[in-house]
Amino acid sequence: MKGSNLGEFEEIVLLIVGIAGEEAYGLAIMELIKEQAGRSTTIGAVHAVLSRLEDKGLLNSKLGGATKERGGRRKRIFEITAAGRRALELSRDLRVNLWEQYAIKTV
Amino acid sequence: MMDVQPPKWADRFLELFCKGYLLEEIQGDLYEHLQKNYEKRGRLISALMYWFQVLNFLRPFAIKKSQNSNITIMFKYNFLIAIRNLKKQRFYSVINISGLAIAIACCLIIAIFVKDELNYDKHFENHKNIYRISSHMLFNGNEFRMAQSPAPMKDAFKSDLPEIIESGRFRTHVPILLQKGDYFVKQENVAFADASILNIFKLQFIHGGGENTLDNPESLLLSRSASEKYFGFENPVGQSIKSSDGTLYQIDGVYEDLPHQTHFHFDVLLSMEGYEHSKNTVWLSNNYSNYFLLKDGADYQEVNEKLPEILKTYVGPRLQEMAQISIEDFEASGNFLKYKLIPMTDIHLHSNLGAEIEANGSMDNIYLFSAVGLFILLLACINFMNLATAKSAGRAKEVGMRKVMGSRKRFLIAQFLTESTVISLISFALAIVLVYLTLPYFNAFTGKNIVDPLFGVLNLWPYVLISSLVIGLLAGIYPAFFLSRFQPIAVLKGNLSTGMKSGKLRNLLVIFQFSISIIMIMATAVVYKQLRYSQNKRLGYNTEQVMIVDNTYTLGEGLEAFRNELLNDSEIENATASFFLPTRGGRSDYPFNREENSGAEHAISAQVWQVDDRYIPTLGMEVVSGRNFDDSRAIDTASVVINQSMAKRLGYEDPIGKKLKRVSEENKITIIGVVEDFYFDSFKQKIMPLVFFLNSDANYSMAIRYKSDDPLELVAKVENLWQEHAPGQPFEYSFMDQEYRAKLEEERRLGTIFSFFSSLAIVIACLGLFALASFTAEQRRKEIGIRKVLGATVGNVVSMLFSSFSKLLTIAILVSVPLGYYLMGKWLEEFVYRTEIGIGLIIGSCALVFLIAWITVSAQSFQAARSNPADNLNHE
Repeated sequence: MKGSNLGEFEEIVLLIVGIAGEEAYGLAIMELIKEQAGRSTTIGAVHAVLSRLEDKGLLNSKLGGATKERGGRRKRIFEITAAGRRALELSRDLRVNLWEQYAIKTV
Repeated sequence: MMDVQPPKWADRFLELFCKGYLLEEIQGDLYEHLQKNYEKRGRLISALMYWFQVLNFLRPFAIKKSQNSNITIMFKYNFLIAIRNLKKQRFYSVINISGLAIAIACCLIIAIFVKDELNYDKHFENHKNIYRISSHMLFNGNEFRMAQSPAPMKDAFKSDLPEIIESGRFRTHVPILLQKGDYFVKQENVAFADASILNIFKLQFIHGGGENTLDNPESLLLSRSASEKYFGFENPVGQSIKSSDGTLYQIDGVYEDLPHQTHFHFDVLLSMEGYEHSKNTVWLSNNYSNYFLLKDGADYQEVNEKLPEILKTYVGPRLQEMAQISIEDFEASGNFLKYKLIPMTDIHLHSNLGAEIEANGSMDNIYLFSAVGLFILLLACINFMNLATAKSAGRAKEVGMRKVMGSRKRFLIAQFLTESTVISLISFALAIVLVYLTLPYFNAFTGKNIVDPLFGVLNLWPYVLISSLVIGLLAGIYPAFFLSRFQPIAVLKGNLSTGMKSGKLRNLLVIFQFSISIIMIMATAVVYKQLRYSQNKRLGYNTEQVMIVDNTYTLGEGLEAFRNELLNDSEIENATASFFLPTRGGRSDYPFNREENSGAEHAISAQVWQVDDRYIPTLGMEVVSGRNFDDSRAIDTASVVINQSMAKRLGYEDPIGKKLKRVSEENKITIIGVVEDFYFDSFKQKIMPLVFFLNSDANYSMAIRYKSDDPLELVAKVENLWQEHAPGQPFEYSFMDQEYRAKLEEERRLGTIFSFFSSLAIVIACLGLFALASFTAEQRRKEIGIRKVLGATVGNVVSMLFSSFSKLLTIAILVSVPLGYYLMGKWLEEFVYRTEIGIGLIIGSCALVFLIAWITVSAQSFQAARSNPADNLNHE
């Protein structure tokens, strides 16, 4: 276990998984990242992060249904675990806290 | 059903490395992605992106763990063993690596040359939409292909063709003299340019260049280097500069020097407004380089199809007027007049017409050099394979042992491929060092200016990286499969028959190498022979002892006085002033008719050279019948001297006293003399008909025939005289024999390049032979020992070792001589006036290869033959 510190890209992926709900599988996540963050990534890069997050216990996955446009292959749907939600909250709290201090300093 | 199938190999590759439990979802993602891309971007792009996504998936988390061994550990050990083997067999390693490094360096240099040539004119912002017109004419058996076209085409095409959004012209100008301080200096690379040219080429201005640039007839633009020449580093915009004819030009702007990869390098652009001739509407004279900027997405071939129709409306009436022939009749008699747009980026390598602004490269050279580069590389790879199989006996035991210990065939293959890749990478590193060391010579030789081929504009590093891996794999693939095939039981028992069988292939490869070497040596010899032929050929005039003084037009009326003073000198035999010299460009031609003919259908196109009466004797041309001009006879201004080719075309039995006339003129001109044909073009062209007219005013330079043995003293003398008559004007001179030799520069360069590459080919082939010979000697050590004990001499042993190679060389000669003969015959066919290949040349080339091979082999053989048999035999 590498602890619950989230990298910047990991945090984005985790949040996107949360947003996507039932549609949280590799390609859809990649497209959402493009849409929301304006970043082009590759399927490989997204899967690498997903598998790392799964290793950390922040994500769970299950195999979903097969569809025609996937050549009859099933998707792996990801969902956030409790630990994942906790890691996101910690990360957000840390940032909010830092932002407040920053605001006081610079005003 | 799917709309589009994914690339099969990409999928296979993914299945090969991807962990099983990930595979299904990944493939699903990839397929879905493919479908979306396919709809948006089409088949090719989506397939490429598929590959990209698959390759991008090569990440530690996704890669299958090998069941047999850990891949990374395997790579590490393979690498270590490779290095150890290299160290253990220093001799072979050095030969292998140096041979490969030299070959690669050579290929890299060629790649630099090729890529640089291919990149011409691509730096212009609009390069994809810029086109130039070429003209192609057939006029009574005389064919012209020119890079120039008529003056009025610019406006006519722009108004008639909606695809054209901008048009502009260059008109090259002879060098002018511009004032610098108290003197005038010669400024070359001068042209008139339309203001609209700037919209097409978008020159980068350092100073000025705003609105109304070049609109004023007396305005000009300077390149950065020209500006620095006259004004140093200050901004000259708004200042004036005076030319020797008194014109005061106003400077409108300074633009950045054009990179060397451009097909024109003008240093001074004069406003076309100041050139009255540019406004004329004559469609039949081609003196302008017309450029067109097409709309984005316009198809220039479609524009080309519209041109004949447009031309009919413009050219037809002019043709009628000038040659009394309608355009239909003109074409019906087999003549034609065609114009076509060609992309600007094709000019450098594909155009090569008459009247190009600068000398172009040629696609043939690109192919030729690429082929030579590949051959050299192939030779080095063959050495590599040869050596690896040759030393296979030494490694057979290692292979057997490994197999017994449980190594699989594919690990052995991986091991050998790693070794070859390591060798190739080391060679590449060395080659790059070599390339950077030779780059200055390369630049000097080719006139290019390449500083950083790997990361600079040429950006060759990806090619280098990929090719180093590919060459490593290619060179290693045969030995790898060959060596890994050994049967462990057989090799461990010491039965090496499998290793020996490869002898046949080795022999074949040696034959191949020497065939190429022989062909290249023959090619070099033929190129040099043709060069010597050109140098020694009777030219029809005499280039020796002729000095040329330029800019004589600046003497004006003083020319005669200057000449008379020159002729007073006892060391000066004669002097002629004219615009035309056989060693230089600057041509003009015109159609002529026999006196009884009229109209264009019988016309003979001939060079028209205006000369004075001293021209023919000064240049040492021979009058074969009739007489030379005589200034004192008034009638001679209506007379001409023609060359033998013209006489032949006219078809008179005895041309002296016969008359001819210019097409479209009625005045008859009498032929008073015929000179022997002389060469004024490359030997690739047939000598053209030529007509001399007497006209002492057409002078640009003066040719002086002298007797002096000390040309330097002569130059000083002439210069003193020049300063008296033309104070402040630049004195420029040259010698005709030097100019003539410069004309042969292309062949000379080809000769140098070929001799370089053929020596390289033979060095590489000999490196291989050297290593093979030493290997053979090593293998037959015991045999040599026994032979010596039984009384064989050193000579016997050496000749025994050499005889096997002699057979190979003989076969190589049998293969390569006919091939080389054929190829070089083809090359010589380009020349109308050419040498022959000759039996001596063939024998010489073969003997040379034999000699070099013999020296290579005997060096090793002597050592083996001289060794003490006791040392060789006491091992067992």
